[in-house]
Amino acid sequence: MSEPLLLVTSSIAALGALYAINARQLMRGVLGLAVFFIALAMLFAQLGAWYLAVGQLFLFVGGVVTLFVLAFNFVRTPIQHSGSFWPWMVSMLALLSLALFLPFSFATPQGISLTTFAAEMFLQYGWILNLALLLLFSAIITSQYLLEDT
Amino acid sequence: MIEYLIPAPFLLVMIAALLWPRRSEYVGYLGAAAGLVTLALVYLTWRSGTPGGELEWFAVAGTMFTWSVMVDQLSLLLAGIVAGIGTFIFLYSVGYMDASEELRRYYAELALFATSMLAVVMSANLFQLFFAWELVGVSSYLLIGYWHDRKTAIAAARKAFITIIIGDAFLLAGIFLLWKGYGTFAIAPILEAARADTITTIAGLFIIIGAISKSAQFPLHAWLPDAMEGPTPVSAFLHSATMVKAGLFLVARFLPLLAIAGLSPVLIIIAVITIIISACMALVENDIKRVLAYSTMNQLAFILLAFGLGATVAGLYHLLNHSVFKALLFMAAGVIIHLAGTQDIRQMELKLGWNVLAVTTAIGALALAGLPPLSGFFSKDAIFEQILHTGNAALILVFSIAIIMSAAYISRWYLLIFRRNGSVAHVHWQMRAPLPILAALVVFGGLITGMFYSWWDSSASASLFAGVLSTILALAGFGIAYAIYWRGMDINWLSRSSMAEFFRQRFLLDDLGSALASAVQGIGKAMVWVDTHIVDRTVVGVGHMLSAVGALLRRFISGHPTNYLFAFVIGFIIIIITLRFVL
Amino acid sequence: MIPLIASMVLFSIGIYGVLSKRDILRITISVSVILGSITLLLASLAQNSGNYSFILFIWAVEVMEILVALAVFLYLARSEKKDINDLQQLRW
Repeated sequence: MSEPLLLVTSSIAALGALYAINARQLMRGVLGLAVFFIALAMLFAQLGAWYLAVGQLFLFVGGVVTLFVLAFNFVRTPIQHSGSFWPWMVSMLALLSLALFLPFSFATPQGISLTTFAAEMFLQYGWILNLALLLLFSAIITSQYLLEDT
Repeated sequence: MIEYLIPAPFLLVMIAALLWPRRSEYVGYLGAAAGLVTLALVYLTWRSGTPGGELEWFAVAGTMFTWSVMVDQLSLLLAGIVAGIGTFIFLYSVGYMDASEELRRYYAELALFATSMLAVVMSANLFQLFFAWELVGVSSYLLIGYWHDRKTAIAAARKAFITIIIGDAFLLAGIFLLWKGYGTFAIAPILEAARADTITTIAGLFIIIGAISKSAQFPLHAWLPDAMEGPTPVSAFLHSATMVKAGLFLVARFLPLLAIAGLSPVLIIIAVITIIISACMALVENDIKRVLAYSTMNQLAFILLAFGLGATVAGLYHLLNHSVFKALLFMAAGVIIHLAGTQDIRQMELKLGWNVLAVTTAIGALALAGLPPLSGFFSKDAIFEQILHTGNAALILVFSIAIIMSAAYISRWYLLIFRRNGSVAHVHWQMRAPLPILAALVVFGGLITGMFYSWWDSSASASLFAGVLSTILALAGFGIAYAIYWRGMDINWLSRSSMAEFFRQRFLLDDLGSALASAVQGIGKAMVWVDTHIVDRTVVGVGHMLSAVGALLRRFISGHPTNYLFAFVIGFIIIIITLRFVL
Repeated sequence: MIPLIASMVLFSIGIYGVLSKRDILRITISVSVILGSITLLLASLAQNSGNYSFILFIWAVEVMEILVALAVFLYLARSEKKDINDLQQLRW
């Protein structure tokens, strides 16, 4: 339990919450909320509650923030994309597959079976890495909105 | 058994009067018949010699209330007076009252009065006496204000009732004090056990006040002159012969107690003051009935004086005689009013001659003055005798002057009404008939003096000196009036003097009473002001305050959820603080 | 100690956000911040015993509440009501 780390994480959480409330654009506010949830997860991890940290990340960052984005988009006037979306789609798919298969880069070349896959996916550090990649993926998607005026 | 029925005939007349379907004259005859029946009952009761008895009525908290009747000389005397004069009055009313009016109410009230008066004199316990006493006062009020479309009559009735109620309040207090002191309401045991202590004295004083209010003595006398607003038969019955005698009856009943309590001087003082002021007021009064009212006050004060001196039998004899000749005088006055059409004696001119009216009125007037051999002489002389016995020079002087004045005022009254050259006219037989009968009673009434005294087991003491002296004094009074009003002596300097004016203003006592009443009314008005401006405003103000608070609180319910959330947070903080620091 | 203070600071930030913002979504975000601060508080208090499972109950309720809030928001946003002070039916 290192004090400075706790302090840093707490201040990140506070700043994220403040930005979430005071941001001028709603989507940026949602991102601030995501930052707040992530900092909260890190605090839980530092307090020794691993499962809480993981649950926080799954439920809130992955679920609640996504729901916010969904609700917000339902009531927004649709944004006209200029140009085709194929490059964007292909790049997203590539990133997704990269995210899914990156853990296996550390696997032994014995052969890929379901058990080894599962072992790799859900073992102690593998799933954290996986989570981080999922987060990165969702971050990349949401960052699409950063580039637009909402 | 008969003694319980004595009030009954008149009660039946009252019920009959209320239910009578047609011409109400016949109720008058019925009343006269009831009077005769009652007289017969009184005679039978006297003959049977019972001392009375009681019937149980109801019990409250261990005290048994009974309907009890006491039969002794006093109650039989008064009952006989009420019944006898009542007979004449009912007959007289048939002739006097205008038959076109609705008279059932009149006869009912008259019969109510007779019933309650009989109940008063026959009752043997104080509770019952008070009950009947109040009824007497109520019927007096009703009868004075009988012509209720006359404002003066209503005012007079109210004045009478209020004055009588003051006396009644004191009487009730006295009754309860006696109950507290002697433990019973029954009269005979109280009289037997009478002793001289504070409770008896105060109770006796209160009883005297109650008696004074009914008998119009100073200071509760102001209602009697105004009570003449009622019909003349009512004045004849109530306010000369019977109701005003009720107060004196009460004093006579309780005289042993009052004597032991040492209250006789009080009676004497009240009587003397009343004699003086009523005689003065009678000399300057011009209304025919009011003069007779003042003379009633005067004569009742004579009786009270006799009681105060201990000469009970003399006083009662004068009571009997006065009832007879005063009723005669009032009935004659009623006839005179019918004939002259006015009530002001200065405007009357009836013939002074040998007609029935003039002669019977003269007999009544001379009896009042106390000239022998009329009955009034014997009774007044008896009282005068007792006064001479006391040897009190002031008292003798006052009484002598009173005899002169009473002769003077009644002679003045008579001489202003009957002139040498007046008119004669005809009245109904019902009005004329009682006059000679009563006059005969007055003339021959003196013969029963001995019998009367022996009924009370005492003897009449008469001295020639007293008789001669009182006759001389009466003649002196008559002479003065004769000189002034028949011969025309000029007394303008006297009648315009401020003293005469003071007498005319009834010694300003009425004004004193009005001022007192206004003061009490002022208290009432102050209460009303307090109630309207303070109490009502407080009550309404509470409502206003609550609605103002409501209006204030209403602004918190703005409908904006932000405000609600803010209130929620504030409340939450308060709860936290309370939980942490208070509990 | 620091987590306790941090949770209080975050709580007050959340209250500030609830009371001062007029946009419904922003208020819902502030509510999520409040609940997060509470879970942090509970986690720090339960550090000694290691029983962190109570927080799961709070998460369950919180997620349901956010779902319902967003559903209501979607319903209201159809009639262009995004300001919370437009919802004034419950007044005298």
